[in-house]
Amino acid sequence: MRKQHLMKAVLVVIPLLWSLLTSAQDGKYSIVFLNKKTQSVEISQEELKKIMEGHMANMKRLADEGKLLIAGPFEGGGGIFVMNSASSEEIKQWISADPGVQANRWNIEILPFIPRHGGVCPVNENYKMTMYSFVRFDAIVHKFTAGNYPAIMQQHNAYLKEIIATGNVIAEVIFGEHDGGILILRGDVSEDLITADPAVKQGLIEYQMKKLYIAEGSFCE
Amino acid sequence: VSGIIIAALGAICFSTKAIFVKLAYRDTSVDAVSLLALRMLFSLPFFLISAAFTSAKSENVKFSTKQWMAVAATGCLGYYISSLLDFLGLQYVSAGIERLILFIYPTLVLLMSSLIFKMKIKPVQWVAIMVTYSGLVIAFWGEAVVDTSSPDFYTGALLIFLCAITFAMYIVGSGRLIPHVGATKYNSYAMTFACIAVLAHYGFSSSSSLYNLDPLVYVYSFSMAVIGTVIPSFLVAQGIKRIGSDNAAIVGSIGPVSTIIQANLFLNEPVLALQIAGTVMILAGVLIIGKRPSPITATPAKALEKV
Repeated sequence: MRKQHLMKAVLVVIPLLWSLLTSAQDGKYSIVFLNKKTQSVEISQEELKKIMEGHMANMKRLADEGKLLIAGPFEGGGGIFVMNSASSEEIKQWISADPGVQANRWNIEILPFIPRHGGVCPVNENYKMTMYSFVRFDAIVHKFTAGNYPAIMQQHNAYLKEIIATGNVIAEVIFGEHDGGILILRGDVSEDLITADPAVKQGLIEYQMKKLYIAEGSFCE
Repeated sequence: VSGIIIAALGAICFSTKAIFVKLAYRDTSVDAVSLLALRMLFSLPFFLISAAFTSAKSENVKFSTKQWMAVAATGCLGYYISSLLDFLGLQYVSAGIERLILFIYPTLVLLMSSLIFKMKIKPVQWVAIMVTYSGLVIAFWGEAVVDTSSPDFYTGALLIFLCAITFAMYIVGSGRLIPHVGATKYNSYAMTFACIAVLAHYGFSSSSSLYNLDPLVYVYSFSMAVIGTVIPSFLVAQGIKRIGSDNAAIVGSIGPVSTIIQANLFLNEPVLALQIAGTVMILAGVLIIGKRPSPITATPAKALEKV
């Protein structure tokens, strides 16, 4: 009798999980993280220069084709692309021509880019580069945050709203309702601002803070 | 609609843990420590693997000796001592009352942080705390009147209350540590320390082997880990994805009610009017407290001033 109950539960859960795993991505943009590798292969200055030239040329081509909307490097290496597609397969193909990608210079991550504050505004020829504080949030489930996940997420969102209300936020973007996201702020930001986030304190959200060098106006600011 | 069902299913799965513990006690002669050790061994790999996949921190932060000690202490408090008290208490009290007592932990977190960090508790929070504890007293009284057969009822209730206290201590303590060391790293090490502590405890207290237990014990402890923890973790995340965190949080509050219903279905625990009344009060109180971010949190404006 009890075993029957168990079997029934298993039969219900397995197809459900499957349908969830195969569910589609939402939004219309994606963000590509070109994460600097901690241990990258040593290459000559000359070769590096060639790669970077090819990298810039490929970026310009993608931008001209309306595929690459925003791009900027992080201080200390790596950078981001915001791309005009929600399909990671399509984006993989777009960036595959990049010599830097071909040379395996970065750890590539492609995530949905869903702005809740700010937007995507590709800049024209005459732009000014500027430096913003860039915070990336990643949701990490473990035993104790799993059960309270929605409540902690609610607190995180409320906290982000409070930060946005200060007027210092350029953009607030999520990778999905259940997931992390990014926060881009004007000027220097104290780490205390982020460590005070209730979701960071409770260990649901892990953060990384960086400086992003980007064309002013890219996020419709 | 599907999002609501997924989130609800997640909450229901989470609430099966106490049921499986009670079933294991009823159908086998397993002791609390063995059960805890097995549950931990079954669930640890899932969380370590998911941590390995989701970790975002690229640079490896080194812990200081003090941080190692703090991680070990809070890890053992949350994952070992608190769980052990819970499993011990469930030998004596119903799954329904266990869930109700545990559900008050946010009030304990609030009280502890106000004591330690000298945070002021707002009048509305005092009201919420009072509503919560009144609800607990009502449900508790309803149960104590019926459950006169068990002389250990009060011992069990005390053990569960201590479990709630140690869990609240874990929340307050880890809340100071996690932002500095990173969640993934913290959880992986905290769980590993706790696992070692549980296995050591098992080694000292038990002469039997973990391999030769009643087969049902493995079924229940595996179900506890997978149906009670791993699958719902996934379901709740997907629930939020579909209906947003606000709605998912509301759906999630069916947890204690779900435990009471399942305890009635699978364990024949009676459903008492006073228990239901108490549950509603506790739910309301905890919901009000959860609404505001924890009092440990500084306001963004304050943090920005430091820039």
